[in-house]
Amino acid sequence: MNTPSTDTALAFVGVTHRYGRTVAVDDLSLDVGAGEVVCLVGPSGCGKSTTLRLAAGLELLQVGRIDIGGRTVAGKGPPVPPEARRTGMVFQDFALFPHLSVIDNVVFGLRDGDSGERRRRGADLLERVGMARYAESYPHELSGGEQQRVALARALAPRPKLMLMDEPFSGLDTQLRDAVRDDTLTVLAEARTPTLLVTHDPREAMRMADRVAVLRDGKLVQVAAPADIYDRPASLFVARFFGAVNTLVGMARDGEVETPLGKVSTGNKDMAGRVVVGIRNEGLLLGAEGTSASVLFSRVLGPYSVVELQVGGGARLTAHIPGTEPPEPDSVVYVDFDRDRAFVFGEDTPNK
Amino acid sequence: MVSIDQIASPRRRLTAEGIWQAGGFVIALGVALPIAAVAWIALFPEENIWPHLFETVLWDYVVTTLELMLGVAVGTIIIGVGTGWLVSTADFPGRRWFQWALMLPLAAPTYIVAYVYTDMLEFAGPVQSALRAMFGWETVRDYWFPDIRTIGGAIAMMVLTLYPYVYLLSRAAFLEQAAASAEASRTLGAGPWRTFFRVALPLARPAVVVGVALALMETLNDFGTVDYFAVRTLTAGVFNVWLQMGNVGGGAQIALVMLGFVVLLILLERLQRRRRRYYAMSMRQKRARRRRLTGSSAWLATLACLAPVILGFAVPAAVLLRHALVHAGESWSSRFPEFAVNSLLLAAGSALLCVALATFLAYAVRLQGGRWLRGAARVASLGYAVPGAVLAVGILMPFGAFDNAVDGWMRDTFGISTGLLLSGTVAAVMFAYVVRFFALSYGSLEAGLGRIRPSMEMAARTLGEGPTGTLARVHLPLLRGTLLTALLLIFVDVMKELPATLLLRPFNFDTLATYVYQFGSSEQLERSALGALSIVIVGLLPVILLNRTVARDVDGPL
Repeated sequence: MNTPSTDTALAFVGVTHRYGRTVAVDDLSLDVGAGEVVCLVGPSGCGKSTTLRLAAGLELLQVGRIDIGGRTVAGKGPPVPPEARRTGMVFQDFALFPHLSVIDNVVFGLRDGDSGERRRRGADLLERVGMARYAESYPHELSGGEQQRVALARALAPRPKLMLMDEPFSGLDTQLRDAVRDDTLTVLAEARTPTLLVTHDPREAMRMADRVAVLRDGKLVQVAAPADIYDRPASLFVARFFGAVNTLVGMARDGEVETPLGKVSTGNKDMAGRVVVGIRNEGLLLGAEGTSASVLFSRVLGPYSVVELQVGGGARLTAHIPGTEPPEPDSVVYVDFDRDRAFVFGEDTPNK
Repeated sequence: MVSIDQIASPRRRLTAEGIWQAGGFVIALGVALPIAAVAWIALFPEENIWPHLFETVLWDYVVTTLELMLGVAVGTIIIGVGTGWLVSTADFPGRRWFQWALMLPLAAPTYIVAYVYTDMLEFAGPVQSALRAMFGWETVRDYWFPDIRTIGGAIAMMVLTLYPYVYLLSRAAFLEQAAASAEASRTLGAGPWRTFFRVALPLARPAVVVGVALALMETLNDFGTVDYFAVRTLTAGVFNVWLQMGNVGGGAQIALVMLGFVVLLILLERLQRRRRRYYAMSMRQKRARRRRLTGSSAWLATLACLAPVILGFAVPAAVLLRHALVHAGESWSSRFPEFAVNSLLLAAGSALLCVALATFLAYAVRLQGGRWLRGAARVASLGYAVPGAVLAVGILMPFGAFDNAVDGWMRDTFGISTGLLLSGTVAAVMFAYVVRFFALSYGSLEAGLGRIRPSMEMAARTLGEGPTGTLARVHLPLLRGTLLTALLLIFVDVMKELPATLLLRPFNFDTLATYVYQFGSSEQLERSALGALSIVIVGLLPVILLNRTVARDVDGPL
């Protein structure tokens, strides 16, 4: 990890960044591989935008090292200024130049070749994002989704070695967002541009990323593929961040925890003492077997139904169950749970 | 949100950012130089004339200046706040027209208005002649007529030309006030007058104070009027001690006293500007509905708004126009085109220079935003409050010292005398303009840049453009309107400027303003009418510009 590898599009090595006394980024090390899309996700104020701007050179590196495409751009010798880093960036507000037409925005970053070649390259990119018809329009005439596409084309035009995206979809309507996300992924994959994308939306991270990096209070808490993040969260915080979780407290002994719903394996023989067991809401199974529980409340939400339960001993649980015919309030049901949707965390693991 | 000064800059020598920062410092310090020079000369004079000044004229100058300022403050508040209140909260015949017409007096410099009124109201003028003809009076002893060439006359002239500052700011403040506060007051049983004094005026007070501070800065700056009326203010004192008594150190010392006044005014203005924020409402609140005036009160309101427009603009403009037409022969001297060209070139050149320097500094601050650079920029922006006469002292001193040093060194080394390189040149005059109007351009540029989102330059930078290219390709095109406005405002102010031009201009070099001064102050208004009229016409440009902004306010939701 100490020598820049050419397979690595971007590497943060031990990066720490402070604003005054506040530590925004704390000893962060993270790679983005060739052609890979990594999503940096976390609650607002966790330091993810700072991390992105450090990579772009829009923020001066204080501690650590940053390599782009195998070349150290900050941390050793004078830092490479943003304009020489060959990164493309898509901003939350798209930041299209309002005084330039769409095509002039796209060719803004092109240096090589005569103006005819540049315009051909620009037109080609507009074609790829499906905006060729709007080449002569001005940014204010475009919808949010269209502006986003132009911003993407503009950032890709100079063939960046690395794409940086700062909440690129948060300015869009919910309905539009999924379509634009998928189109963006297609375009990025075609261009084989490695990408670091910052978002506060866990669903977006899951949808876009080859790997998800979860940042909390400036610290990386987990980096893994989306399925791993969901199925094997490193902490209760990560588990909760990607989906609703019921928590039960229990004592661990001999690799097992006793809970009101039955035993769970800790997966680690050494774990002992008080532990927290997290069970995903959809991991709770209502059927003929398991622990009896009374239904406090139920509602149909459409894709699934939500059921509030109380088990013996007073623990309250929330279950998300398929179908539109949840049990009636005050009825008694039997609860079991899917062992793959349950996680055990020692009490020292940071949780909420 | 991301602030632009967090954009990283490589810490090494000779980076583009380094050049911007160094350049920014040079500009800021250069612009601050005259102010520093005045303070320096006054505190360390070659001969100490402080005691002498205190014993003789200084007290007189200070008291006269204070009287003048007090009179101007009271007058501009009455007219400015009164008309501002009327057009923003009441409906009466001509209201829409008055909204912008009340700004017209800004077009004419005070000294020109003073020449016109003296011409009209003196013993041989049309007014007194008509009175004499009507009542059969013959000599001065037969009747009493107020003498305009007194401090009272000077106050009247300044109130007539400077009240628009107070009008503009208080009108905006009244428009900003939420309907709710006025309505609450009315439902609590207060009538419109009580509401005005208890609610609207206190809410508008910070804006009114800022307007008055600006008017008083102009009052301190005025030389043409007080010179003509022989009112012994501090500005007149600088001219007197410097030119008549040939005592430069004494001039500088009086200038320093003026700086004291200026500092007080700036503090007053800044303090109230800061408070304005707390008084301003959020834009979503409903604006107060205007009260429809009927009958005699409506016509009184019309009259109250009409009078300042007639007296401050229509009468002077008409008199000048008539003189320029009737006395076209005398008014059109063979040197008129020369003076006009001098004025135009000086105004255009200084405006371009001033805006270019301000753009450089504002962009450097945006790039770097260091505390020192920001502080230097703030000091450099003090020039607008410093009277032209004070600036002239502050420029001539260091320039003279520089010229002497170069001349001495050249003579010793090469046996050549270089004479005056900077003092008494057009460069010195332009320098004064740049310093005096720097704040105007810097303020607009700073505000204009503030409206450009930081992501704009971040986008340009990540697209491979350096800081200088980003300015050229992104900021300057986006700032076009701001730049043009700043250029226009400075152009017009330079055309009108008198005291610094008089003190610093090269020998036998005249502009329209100095030409008008020369003949106006020797009671030959007909000869200066064409020049004066030209200045007033050019002065209308910013009024038209302001009119557009005001119209935008008006068309907004009511």
